[in-house]
Amino acid sequence: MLRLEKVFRVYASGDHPIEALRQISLELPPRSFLAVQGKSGSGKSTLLNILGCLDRPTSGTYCVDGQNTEDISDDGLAALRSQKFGFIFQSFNLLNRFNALENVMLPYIYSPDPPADYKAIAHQMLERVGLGSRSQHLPGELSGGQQQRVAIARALVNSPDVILADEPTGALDSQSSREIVDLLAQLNIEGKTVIIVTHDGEIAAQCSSVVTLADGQVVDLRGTLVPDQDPKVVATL
Amino acid sequence: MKKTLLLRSVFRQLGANLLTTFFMCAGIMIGIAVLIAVIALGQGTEARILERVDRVGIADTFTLRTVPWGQGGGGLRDEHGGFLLKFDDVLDLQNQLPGIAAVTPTLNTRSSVGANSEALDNISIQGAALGFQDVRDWNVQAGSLLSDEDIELNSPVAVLGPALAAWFFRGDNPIGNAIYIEDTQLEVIGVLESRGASGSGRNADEIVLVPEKVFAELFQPLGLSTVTVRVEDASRIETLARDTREYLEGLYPGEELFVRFPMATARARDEMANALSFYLTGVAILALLIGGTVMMNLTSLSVSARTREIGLRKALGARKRDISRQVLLETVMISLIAGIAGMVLGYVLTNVLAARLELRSLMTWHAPVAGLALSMVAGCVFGVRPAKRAASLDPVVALRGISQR
Repeated sequence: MLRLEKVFRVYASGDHPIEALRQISLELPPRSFLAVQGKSGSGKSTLLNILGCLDRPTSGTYCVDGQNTEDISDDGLAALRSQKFGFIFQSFNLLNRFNALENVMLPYIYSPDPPADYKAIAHQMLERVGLGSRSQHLPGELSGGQQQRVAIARALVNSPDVILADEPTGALDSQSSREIVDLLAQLNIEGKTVIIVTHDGEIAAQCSSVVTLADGQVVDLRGTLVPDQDPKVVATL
Repeated sequence: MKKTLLLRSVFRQLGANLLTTFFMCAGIMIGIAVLIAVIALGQGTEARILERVDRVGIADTFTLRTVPWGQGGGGLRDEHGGFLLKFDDVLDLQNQLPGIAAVTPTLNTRSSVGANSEALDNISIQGAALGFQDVRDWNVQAGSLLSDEDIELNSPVAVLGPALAAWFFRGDNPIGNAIYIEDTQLEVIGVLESRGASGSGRNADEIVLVPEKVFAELFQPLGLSTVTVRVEDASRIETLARDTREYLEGLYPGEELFVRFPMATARARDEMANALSFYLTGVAILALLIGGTVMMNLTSLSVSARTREIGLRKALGARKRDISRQVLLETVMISLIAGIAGMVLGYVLTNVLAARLELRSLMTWHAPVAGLALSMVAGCVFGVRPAKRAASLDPVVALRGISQR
């Protein structure tokens, strides 16, 4: 359960502070499948960064599983990022000198308690995204779609509850985009909360709910967050 | 925390740009190499002094002369103008002054020398007693010097000055050939290195070195102009030297004696090595500082170039200390490589310097261990800044791949 309450994020910028997020209240039960839409500069990425504990609210509270992130140390947030969240980026962010399998194993460096068979699990994850035969390939030897699938496998190795994807298809052709979104939808069906930041309406349509931001505020909220539950979203407009 | 994966990250990073890694290593490597050479040469010099002290007790000897140093060789007759000490007076010193352990006369005269049916007059003949090398450095360019056995057993052998060897034998090998002094045949066993003309105008290369007993039989010396005295307690050497001089001057009223401490001469000779050590240590420290700074800045640069990677690692759960640990590991690894390379280079440098400058080197475990430890310290010290920088990167900004100042 992720819960934002009257969250503001203000960037100090000379005389005029920029309010990237204004009074966002949002409650995401487990297994939510949410698209965050909005023009560039609307605060989509800032929202995602706060949800993923890469950033802290300037004011307001953000609770992860009932725990206020304000009370969690920086190291504690790092541990949350390691165990609770999986990140997917528009530009994949794979390390070019590491092959696919090594990239997938990367999160284990920062796992407090990595499993003994971590290598086998990493390989399983590559197979899960359909790249079991490409484990020794460097990112440069893979197509964009394949690279993003490696990134998804990397996001999955620590079995996170929440997948955060920032424009995951922004650099991909439509065929690869569909495959990636299908994969993310499948992960949601399997029980993970999936949050996708996108400006692509087609992708947003595939999610069970859509939040639209403008100037740092929620201006629209549609759909149900969890398919077989009543909407429990609290959005203050 | 999977350490193997972290190490893999570090090595992959260092291997990604070998040229940068080399430049990061270079300064520290040179610093460590020079430092090792300094330590080895310094220890070699010290060992040489101590060895000399050990062998002939040079620390507890002083030399008395009837003429000042630099004014002729001093003979056994009074042709040089100075007076001569009587043998009995000299040998009696041991009984007269408590604290004197031994007295060694230095024998020196001029005579004609013949070889190959040729003869030269007025050639300096020197009698060599045990430990004669320590009063003055004698080096041979061919053959060998007089050994302790030659001196003790009264062997009929001689070592020739290079000018004499060239004059008598004209390019032939003189070793094993015979020379004659006053009709006594001596076998040439060595040729001295050239020293050139001495201050007194006599050619220092026109000399014959023979064992002291051979000398005594040849010339039946009338007296002595030079005496080396060994004392029992080295700490009282200056008092004893003064007492000895005053005692002898009392026996020869109106005459003056001159004293020299060979240990001081030996020390002076090794001052070159000390000066060298001083400057080389400076070079080493400078190289380490420059090398460390270069490594620090190149690492900072590589951190800037990797903001995106660092942002990613933070997103994957890296704490600040994980990031700084990785960067520190890089600099320590670089300096470790540099330290090992520096050890090898230092070993080579030591041998080259020792050969070129005719210094003794002594390689013990201290130098490499100190070098390695120092390189690790440099890696830690100079890694702190880039490590802190990397750790303080804001993941949100870093993920956008914009380098931060």
